[in-house]
Amino acid sequence: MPDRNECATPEAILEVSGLVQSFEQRRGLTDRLTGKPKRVVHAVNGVSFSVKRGEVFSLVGESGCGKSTTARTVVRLLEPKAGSIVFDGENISRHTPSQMMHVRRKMQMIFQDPYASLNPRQRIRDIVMEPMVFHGIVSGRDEAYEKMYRLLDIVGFRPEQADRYPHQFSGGQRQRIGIARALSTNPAFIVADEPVSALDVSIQAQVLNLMMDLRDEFSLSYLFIAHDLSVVRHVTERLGIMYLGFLVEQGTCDRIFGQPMHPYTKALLSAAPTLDRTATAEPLKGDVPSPIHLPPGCPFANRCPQRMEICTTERPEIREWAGRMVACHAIGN
Amino acid sequence: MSGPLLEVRNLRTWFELFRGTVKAVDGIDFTLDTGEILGIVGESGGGKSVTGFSILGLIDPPGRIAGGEVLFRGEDLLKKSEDEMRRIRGREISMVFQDPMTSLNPLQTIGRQIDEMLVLHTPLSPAGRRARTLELLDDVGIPTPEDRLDCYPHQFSGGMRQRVVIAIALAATPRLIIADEPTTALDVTVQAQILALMERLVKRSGSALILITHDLAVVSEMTHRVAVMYCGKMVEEAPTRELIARPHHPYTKGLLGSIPRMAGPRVRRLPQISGMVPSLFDLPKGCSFAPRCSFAAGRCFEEIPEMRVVAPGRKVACHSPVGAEEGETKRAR
Amino acid sequence: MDEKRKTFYRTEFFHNFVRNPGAVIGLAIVLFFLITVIIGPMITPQNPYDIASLDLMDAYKPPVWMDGGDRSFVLGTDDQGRDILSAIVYGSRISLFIGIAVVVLSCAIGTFLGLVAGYFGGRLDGFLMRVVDIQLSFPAMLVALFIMAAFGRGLGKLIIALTLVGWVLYARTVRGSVLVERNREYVDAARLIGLSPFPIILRHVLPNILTPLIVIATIHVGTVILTEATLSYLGVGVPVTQPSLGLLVKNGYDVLFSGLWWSSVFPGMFIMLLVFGINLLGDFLRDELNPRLK
Repeated sequence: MPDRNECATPEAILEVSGLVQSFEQRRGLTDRLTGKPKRVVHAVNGVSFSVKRGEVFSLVGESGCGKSTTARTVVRLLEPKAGSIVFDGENISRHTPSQMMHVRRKMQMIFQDPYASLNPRQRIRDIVMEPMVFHGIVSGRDEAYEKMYRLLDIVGFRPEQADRYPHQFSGGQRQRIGIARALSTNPAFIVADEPVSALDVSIQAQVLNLMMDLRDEFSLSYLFIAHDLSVVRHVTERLGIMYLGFLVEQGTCDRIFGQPMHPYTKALLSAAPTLDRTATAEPLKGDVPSPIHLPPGCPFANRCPQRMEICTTERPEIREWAGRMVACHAIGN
Repeated sequence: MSGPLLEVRNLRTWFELFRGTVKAVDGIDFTLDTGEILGIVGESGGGKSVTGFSILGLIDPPGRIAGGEVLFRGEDLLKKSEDEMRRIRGREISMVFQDPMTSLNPLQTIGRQIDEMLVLHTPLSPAGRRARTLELLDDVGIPTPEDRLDCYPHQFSGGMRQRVVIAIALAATPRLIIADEPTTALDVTVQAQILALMERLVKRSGSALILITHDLAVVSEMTHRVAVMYCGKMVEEAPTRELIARPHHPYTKGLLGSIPRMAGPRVRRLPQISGMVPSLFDLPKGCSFAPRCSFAAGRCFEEIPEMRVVAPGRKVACHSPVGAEEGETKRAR
Repeated sequence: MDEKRKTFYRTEFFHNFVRNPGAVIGLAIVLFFLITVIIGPMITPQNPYDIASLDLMDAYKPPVWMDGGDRSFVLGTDDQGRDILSAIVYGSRISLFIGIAVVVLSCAIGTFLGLVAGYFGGRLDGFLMRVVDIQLSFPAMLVALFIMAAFGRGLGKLIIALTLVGWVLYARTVRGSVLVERNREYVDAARLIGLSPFPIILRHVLPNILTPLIVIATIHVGTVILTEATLSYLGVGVPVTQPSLGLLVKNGYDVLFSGLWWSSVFPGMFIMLLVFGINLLGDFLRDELNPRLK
């Protein structure tokens, strides 16, 4: 793997290699009695990437491509099935909950759904104070309140709004409360799982701007999960494109958007509607294959306009080509 | 037929709720010609979906149509009885919703559901209906329709389901299709497929399409004309390319500015519209957008601006439209 | 506090409540019974279970509006000279006590098990839910009847029996709600803070599933009172020394054909009224608190 050297550099805050995640589908009683085999959903199939300190790295793909599962595994909401997650120089892939405790305060998450990510029965002030109090970051009640008001001020709330409940706020405001909660433990790394996809366009810009301001102010690194390519292009330095649980292309924003190489990346870029174009390109045909029965060859082979013989039989390795990492038989041969 | 296919005049749809009256749609006007694709865009709470439902007479209490006319081929739909409307829905005007799962009956095969539509709205014989069903499924790009007739909705992917919904909507060759966020629940590559499909079918059948969406990029690629809604009122209407190139209403301008671009240099911060959409219970006295508008002057806070023609085919509801010269305005009057 | 009360009067909940006659009547009935059982014993003409206060001379008195009625015995007396109205007040007390005690116990046990089963899942969940399924496949009355027949009469035993029958309802509802809440992102956020399962369950999950609990608990009080009345009527419920409304009906029934219809009919009407009131209130809460019906 050529990117080993790059990943091993000390400035990486997160280094993921060979990450595998899968889920067993629940079988009904009849299935179990008739001895049907267990069905396994292969959500993430050997993904490697790293997030440098102070950088925004994005994982992009369509629903079911495994980007959110990757994020949730990285923060250890899920147990990885294989692979390693090195956070801040520490391999956390096998950590127990108590070993995770000191890691937790350094990595936080911003969620997709502003209506589900805040406990409806908690006041805003308690939502923001709970993490810092739990981790003992503040020494007492007064300091907790002071820090909570400061955080709320940063994300744009007046002190008197702290006593309200989430339902009294709009989606964009709730998302900012979620951001304040994530900042509560002074993290160095934030995983943002589709943080603006549920928001209106004008609010989207507000939240994105806030996130980028905070990154400078608190020297944060982000792992940004998104499906909206224009948003990703705006925020990210480097990105990885995922398809069916595989990373198919990875590189800097300029490279990937300027000169996409993987046929799927190309299709994704041309399918994304934009203001700057009048007509959409010929859309991609067909559907994503089932993650239960992974195709033996390239995951994209059945929809690929450049398909060759080898693509249906042999899975392409991701390797360096033209200044990025790409997994495709048709490139460079 | 002379005159437009659909003419909406001063339509008002209000909801009487405990906290007060919500004027979800408050005096909108627009026309639509045969073969035309009109986009209605806006953010949540703008009233765009309610407009669609109002045209079809699908407003249930506590909502009511408080006034106006919906002239479809010269006849006012608001004066029709529920019986008459039932005959018009599906046959003359049909609707495609955001979530295909809620508009399909999960307990019936898709063949049955299309057939039902044909029974209701066409004089075809059973054999003729079967042939037409197959033809429709083929039209919307469902491979091997014969094998798919007896499938249930859950056996299809999201994109395939939306194709079925479109097939049902097209079954009786309606003159007008209202599509409410038809691709919002879908992935970009599938969205591109569905949009291309809708465009092709509308062009071929000569029917008109109202595309209701929050996504200006989709509107930009699909529609001939756009109407922008904000807080229940229409604020701007223009041919699509002109609107995107040269928006006149500050809200349209702000909306367009806050969308990250896929081409051109990357900006550090997105231009954003400050503040939030006001509560529909408590709209500002003058222009609803005034509190967020950087161009707002004294008059904007006092007087609700009327929709007026500023150039041929261009209407805007603003006291001081951006980029529209005063001379131009006078000439158009 | 005053501020809070003022805002409550302006809420939609209160608005809908005062415009729903069923709900207002239901609440009135329930309040009437609560006041009755609390202050009733202080104002009733006699303690019907204090043998010394009974006088056989007062026996067989009809209600006050009939010939031979006595002003001090508004609803008449039974064959031992016991004032029916006083008996009803004391009986309501027992009935309501059993109803509330059983609901509190069932709710506590069922909620705990439902929370644990729903949050952790796995084998424990599988086992608990099979127990629930099996129990729900028997009529509750039959199970209670069996338990009471095996262990004999008694207030405590009755409460235990009805709790054993009742907890499954809560366990199943709570588990279902927990399965929904557990997958919400705020629970993930709590896990990301580093909170362990029990604080998450108590602080984050439990407060969000209280609404359906309140609704079923309200309606359950009515069900328990009816079940208790039936068991007592069948003679396997409360002991004769602590007669509930159900037992009063039975006692009255024994002398019904000697013309003392009032000693059976009035307690029966009070059971009906009480359960009716509780159900009216429960229906309102269900409609009002169920977000899906909004």
